Amino acid sequence: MAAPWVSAAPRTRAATRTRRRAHLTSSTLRFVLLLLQAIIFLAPVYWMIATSLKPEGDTVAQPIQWYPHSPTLENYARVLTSPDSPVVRWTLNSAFTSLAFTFGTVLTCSLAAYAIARLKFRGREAWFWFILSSMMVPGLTTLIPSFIMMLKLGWIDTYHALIWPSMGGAFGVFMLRQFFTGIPFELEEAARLDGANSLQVFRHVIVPLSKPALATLTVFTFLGAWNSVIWPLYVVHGDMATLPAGLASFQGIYATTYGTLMAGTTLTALPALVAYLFAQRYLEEGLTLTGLKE
Amino acid sequence: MKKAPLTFALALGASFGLFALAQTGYRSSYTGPRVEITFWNGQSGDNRKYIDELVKRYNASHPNVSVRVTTPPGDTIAQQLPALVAGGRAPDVTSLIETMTIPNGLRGVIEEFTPPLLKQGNIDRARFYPALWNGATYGGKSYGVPVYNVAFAMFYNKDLLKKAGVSRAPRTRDEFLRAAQACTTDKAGRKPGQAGFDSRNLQTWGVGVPNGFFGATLAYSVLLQNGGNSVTEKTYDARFDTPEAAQAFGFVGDLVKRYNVSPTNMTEDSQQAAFRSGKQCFSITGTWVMVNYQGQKGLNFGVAPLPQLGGKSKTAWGGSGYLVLPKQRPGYDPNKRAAALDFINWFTLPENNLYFNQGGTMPTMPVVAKDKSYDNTPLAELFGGLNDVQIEAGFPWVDQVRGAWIGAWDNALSGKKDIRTALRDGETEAGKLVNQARKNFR
Amino acid sequence: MSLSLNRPRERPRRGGLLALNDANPLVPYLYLLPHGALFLAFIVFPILFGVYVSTHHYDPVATTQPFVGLEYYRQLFDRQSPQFDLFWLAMRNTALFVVLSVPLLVAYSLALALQLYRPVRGRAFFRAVFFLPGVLSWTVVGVLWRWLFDNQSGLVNAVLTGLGQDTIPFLTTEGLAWVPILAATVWASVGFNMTVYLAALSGISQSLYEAADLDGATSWAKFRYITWPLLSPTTLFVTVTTVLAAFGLFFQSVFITNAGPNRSTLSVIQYLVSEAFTNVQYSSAAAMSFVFAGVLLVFTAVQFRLMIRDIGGRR
Repeated sequence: MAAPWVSAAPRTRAATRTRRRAHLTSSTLRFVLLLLQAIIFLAPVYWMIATSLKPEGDTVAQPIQWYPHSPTLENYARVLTSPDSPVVRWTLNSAFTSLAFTFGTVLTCSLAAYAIARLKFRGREAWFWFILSSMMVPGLTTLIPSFIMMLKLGWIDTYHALIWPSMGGAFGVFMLRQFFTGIPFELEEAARLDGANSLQVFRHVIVPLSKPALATLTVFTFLGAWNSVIWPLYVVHGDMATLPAGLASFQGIYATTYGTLMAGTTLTALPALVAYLFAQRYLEEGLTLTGLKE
Repeated sequence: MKKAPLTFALALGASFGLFALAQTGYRSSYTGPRVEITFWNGQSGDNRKYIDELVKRYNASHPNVSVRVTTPPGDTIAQQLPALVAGGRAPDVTSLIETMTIPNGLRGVIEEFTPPLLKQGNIDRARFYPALWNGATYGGKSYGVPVYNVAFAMFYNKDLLKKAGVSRAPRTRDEFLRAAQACTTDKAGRKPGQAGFDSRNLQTWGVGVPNGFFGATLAYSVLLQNGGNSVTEKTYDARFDTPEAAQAFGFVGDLVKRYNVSPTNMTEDSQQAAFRSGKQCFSITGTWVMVNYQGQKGLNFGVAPLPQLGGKSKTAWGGSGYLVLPKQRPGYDPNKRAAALDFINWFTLPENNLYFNQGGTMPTMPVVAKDKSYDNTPLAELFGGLNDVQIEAGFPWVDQVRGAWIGAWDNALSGKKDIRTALRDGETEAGKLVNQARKNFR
Repeated sequence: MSLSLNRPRERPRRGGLLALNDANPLVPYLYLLPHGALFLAFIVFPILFGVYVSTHHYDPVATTQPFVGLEYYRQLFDRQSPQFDLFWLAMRNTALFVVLSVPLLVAYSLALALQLYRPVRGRAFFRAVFFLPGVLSWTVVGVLWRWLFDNQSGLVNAVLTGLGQDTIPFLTTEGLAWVPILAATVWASVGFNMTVYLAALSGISQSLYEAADLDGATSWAKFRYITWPLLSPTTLFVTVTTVLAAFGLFFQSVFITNAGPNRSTLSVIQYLVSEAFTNVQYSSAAAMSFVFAGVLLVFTAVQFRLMIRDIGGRR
């Protein structure tokens, strides 16, 4: 940072030099500090994987084995072959329902948000506020009645219970409506003049311009669905369970067979971690977008 | 409560005779036209495999009945059954655990096994352990036919006992205490009672006394051995504040505090881990935990009935599973009911119970326990004690009382409350819950 | 696309209520229909149905569901009811968790962001590491941290033993049982807040700091008089969302301590679902969820205000 104005006064120059040196040491210091914290953050993940690679007899060995002395994949084999932990089936359940839910949410929310943001009709404001005010009611409040609904509909242990109920949420509409409102009307005007109807405007003007927002909503919705546990825990069981809900029942069965348990945990964590590597950018942008823009 | 996993595989070996028991006098009670019935089995783990195989055999030997089995987890069944019955979509037969059977019977979710029904299916209640049968009986009405049995038992580390100079698994309180003390050594090699003994730093020890369900159920077993119970006899009101209960809490707690044969702050997990890693001589816990011990390299263990730790009997806590008939809508095909009854009878026959138990459960009737095919299994030693197993059921609010009992135990063990206060508060809490439940079951 | 602005605007050709073109005043409603139907069926209806359930003695098997008015609400405030003790115990536990976890989560996420927003070696790596646990489901987090803090064989106690310390029975000691719960919560959710703070920090103009440098301001002074005030809307946002998330405590205590010891970590949600699914007291559980929602109202209202401040349409 060699700004010309530092030469203005010798006192300032000296001060800047000290500061720069201080800056360098502080940057090294920060690096060391960050490294320490990173080690602590990664230790649980290391321990999860290390335990999963130990034969069951070694997981509680005294003295403790800091790394697997005789690494084995037998825990993974056990998880993958047990009829009580159809991990592959759970993964497919999670993938299918999360994708279907995400697709449906982004589609329905973007259509609704488009109407609210760009079309004129009676009750527009009122409807928007109605939807929005539902966000003041914590989702938990509807857990019990929604569960009874699922019982009555016969949706327990079906994909329906995972796909439809949360699709009516208000967040997506709110977020997209904010974004759609910000798109200049001049861009739409041109298409309108060419005789495009509202659906064409939506498809050819609004959607292409809203890609970041749509991508963000997609990533968030997907991760939320993939990781949700309370609802799946009560509405899907056994072969119909999702991966996290399945792991919860798995934890009941294998409570103290730590090697097997950690193999199951690792297998459950893996898809989310891989997805994270791919979607990292959108996730962080999304947090910025949905977080606060002052 | 971790009770679902009955997954320990018995090392029965090739000598196990699948039909060691004679096919005693079974004749199908169903002679009607061909029907299909649905069966929900809530068992996970190895049990599931044996259930599927038994159903296959039933279907093969009964051309006029076809049983379709599905395996939803146990708690799903309990959650969904009421709504399915209300909607007329319930399975023809399902299994339920002991705490769920009577409540569902009283709520009108499942049928009572009336004498005519039992007769129709040729189901002979006399073949089962009475305690098991009574676990699903309330007010003289029976709601389930026992299909398996689990119990509290004492696992012991043979090598560690040998090292401590104990020649056989203890059977009385004195033997138990002596053996447990012989097993206990602190890090400096001192024994309990010796000068300088450091109870906070044990090298090996006698037994792990945990908090939660497992510790509370050990204390409950001692209460039963003292001749007491956590509920009154006829009305099943919660009654914790009794000398028998105080003695039971006191004794089990003293294993930690006075005799120093258990470390403080044990959980069921750490208790198991200590037994597995060869630091603890005895593990008093549910039979279903055996699967965790069998996977442990170098652990040489046996299983014995719970020693007599209380004053009067050798009773141990038990649990069980039942086959039940969900209520059906008017117009339900009587042939299905008849076939379901025959299936239930067949499934719980001695020879089939013997086969089913390979999944890790225990015999539901004396004749199976006596079968010689068990002689070479570690569990055989346990079966002599099955008559002493008392199922914690037989009334509708078992879960409510049990929850409060566990709360009382945790308070007492941790020293948060003294024993009398813990018991009294637990009794008050259970009393409220029972009163509420009573209204629901009217 | 032509851009001749002065071309007369073409009127859509046909009108009528059945025609699918923009002259039809019903068309906008078609866009709302898919979401609106789901919204009414699965968001609005359950709320109303919940009110019904909580004011009736609801039993799915029974043929009649007798109206009991506010009985299930009343019993939450009645010392003699079986619900009173546990519900308020769970409320106190959950409130304690909020009080303990929120300052920790806000302060630590800000600290992480401050360490990371200026260039440092491996910055992208560090950001990823701190964020990464946040993508794991609570089941994974819970199961993992119970194992880490196991009284007997957990990593934490092994490290303590390795350092020559006594093991600490975290899972069975009242008070200490919060340690693994808090650690797991911070581990799993500090990354989200950190990212929000990082975004806000990047929005602060560097010239402010340069001006302060000219005045010879210390780092603390710069933080105190520039960073902190400019971050206050972010802090408000982060705090409110964190408070709401903390009230939702469930899996950490279910998996790590299972509400123990002595129910000292029993959370409202755990009690509520056990009331519904174990005790089959749907009505009582529904009433509880409304009372709980009422307690949260203050925070949801603030969050709502923050959100609708956005609606002004700044873009």
